[in-house]
Amino acid sequence: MTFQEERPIFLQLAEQLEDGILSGAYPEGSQVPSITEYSVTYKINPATALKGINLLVDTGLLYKKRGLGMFVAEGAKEKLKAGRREKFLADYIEKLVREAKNLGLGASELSEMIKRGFEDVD
Amino acid sequence: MSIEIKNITKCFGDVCALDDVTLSFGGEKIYGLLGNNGAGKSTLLGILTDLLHPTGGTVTVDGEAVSNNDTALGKVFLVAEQNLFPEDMSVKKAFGAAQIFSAAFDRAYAEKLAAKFGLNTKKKIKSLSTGYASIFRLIIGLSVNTPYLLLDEPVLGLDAQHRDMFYRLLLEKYAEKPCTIVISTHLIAEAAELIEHAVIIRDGRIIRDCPSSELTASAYSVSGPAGLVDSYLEGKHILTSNTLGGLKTACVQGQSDALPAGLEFSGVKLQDYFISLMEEEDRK
Amino acid sequence: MKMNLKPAYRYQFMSLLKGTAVFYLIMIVIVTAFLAVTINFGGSSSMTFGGYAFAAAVYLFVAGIVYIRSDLRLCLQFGVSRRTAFLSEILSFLSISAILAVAGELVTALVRVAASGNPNIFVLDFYQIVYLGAEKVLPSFGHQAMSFLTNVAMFFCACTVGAFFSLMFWRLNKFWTIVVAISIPFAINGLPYLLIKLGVDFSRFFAWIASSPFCFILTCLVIAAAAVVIDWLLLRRANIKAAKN
Repeated sequence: MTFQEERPIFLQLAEQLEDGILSGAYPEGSQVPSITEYSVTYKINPATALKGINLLVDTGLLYKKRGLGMFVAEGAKEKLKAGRREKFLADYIEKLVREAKNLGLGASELSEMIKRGFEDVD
Repeated sequence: MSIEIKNITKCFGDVCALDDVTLSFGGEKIYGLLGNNGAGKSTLLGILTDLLHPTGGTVTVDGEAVSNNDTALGKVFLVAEQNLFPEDMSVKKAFGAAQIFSAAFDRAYAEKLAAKFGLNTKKKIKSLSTGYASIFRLIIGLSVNTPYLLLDEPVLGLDAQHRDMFYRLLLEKYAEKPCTIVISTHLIAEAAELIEHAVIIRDGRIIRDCPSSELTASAYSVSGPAGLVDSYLEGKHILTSNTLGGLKTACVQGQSDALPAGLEFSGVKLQDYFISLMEEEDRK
Repeated sequence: MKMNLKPAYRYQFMSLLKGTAVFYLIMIVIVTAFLAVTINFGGSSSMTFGGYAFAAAVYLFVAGIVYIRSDLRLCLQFGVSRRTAFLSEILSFLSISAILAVAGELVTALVRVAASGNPNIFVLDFYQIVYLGAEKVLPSFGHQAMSFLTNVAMFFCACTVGAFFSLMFWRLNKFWTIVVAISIPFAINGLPYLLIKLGVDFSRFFAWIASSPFCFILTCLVIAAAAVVIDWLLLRRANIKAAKN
């Protein structure tokens, strides 16, 4: 993971973790890297790493096992999917439609393109 | 448990390197002391360690004044820009001296680090290159385990690989044995993600002293067609602005409010904020 | 306890000791060679051995110059205050002076043992020359004890005065350094001449010193005390920087 320009690092770290849970890279019940590991690997202050991890703890995606570390909660994947679906409209659809309008694409043209997308992308 | 700096002034003859500086370092955080060359960073660190005598003001470490106080001074270790070791001393002997002076010095760890960096411990300090002289001092700093660790331009002369190694080792050490660390540097971008609290110093005065997240959250960047940007900028505290063709970008102090269409907003990186701040100060 | 003397003293004393050991070894080699030559080839002509005290004093004067600044820097690097660093330096000087003085008496004893039977070998060092009338006699134990004391005082004085020169030039800026450097030969040559012209009688002072070793010891200690005080005044507010490469 490389950090993008101006989005706070802790947010990017949280998103990367969420992506990992969704994709199955961090299965439910498994341990995620420790604060120290994140800190040393990405050369960031541990407080920043903690902030990112705490975002997921607050939303119930991760939990802390005393003395052991952070683990992915049961049902985290489903929870994430549900949450992301809700945000899908704002995050992707609105942007997509705005860009389409900028380019002069109509609703039906856009639908066609989306159908093609589903066929092309695996 | 902190280093308290109160109203420190330091003048060398007519020139004042520090002017009424009041700061606090503590809480086992990593601080960034950020400023350009000649801003007064090294002078401040020298005063904290009794290398320099302040013209005015006081410094206390955990409540005790620093002057002529071994207990207080023993809690602070400065990895200085300059070499304070006898030049004809070998690195090995320097480790031995560290063991004599500092009960908490971890010799095995120091030798491990020397091997990692490729530092030949048999070499005399005067024969080390700039980079390796820095590495030598950094190794001692990482191994003394004092409650306060001050680093003055730690990566000066280090190649990219060694810089990377150093940052990781520093964070590792900080995680295992937390302490209060102050990184004094003009390399803002490199320090940005390491530090939790930023102190910005310019011409001997402190112009910012707050958590680094607050700093970057306190400004934002707006860009778009010049006319739109100009009308948006009315009444706002502008730090810097650039115009390229019809496109204008400005760095603004404050929180971004309503987002008019046609304008792009983004956050500001610490280095860019720092540069904007310096440019604003230049104009004053 | 705000003062942590032990580590600083340990370091300073050990580093002084190493240099001193080299000096002493050289002295031993010289004395042994001298003895060997005299015993085997000297025949009936008498040989005297002296100069140890003077050599040691010069060595310690230089040591005072060399070690004071670098030890101070190292101590400050490791969080030892100036006051502690300076105090332990003075104690180290004292310790080394005592050690070299004892070692000097050992040289005398060595010569006496090696020369036993040979009536032509003598030790004529500082104490013997000034206070024993340069009699060509191997000194008694009592004399050696006094010789030890005068040497300790002389050696300690040499260290502190060496430190003074080092610290003085450290604190002076370029202009004053040149002024002082130029004025030293003037002072050494011109000042006594001037004082004599004004009627100050030096010979009485020197006679007083030579009258008893205690006078010499007192003079040395007074000079050393003055040097210590001035040394402290010079370094207590100094801005410490790295040695010039």
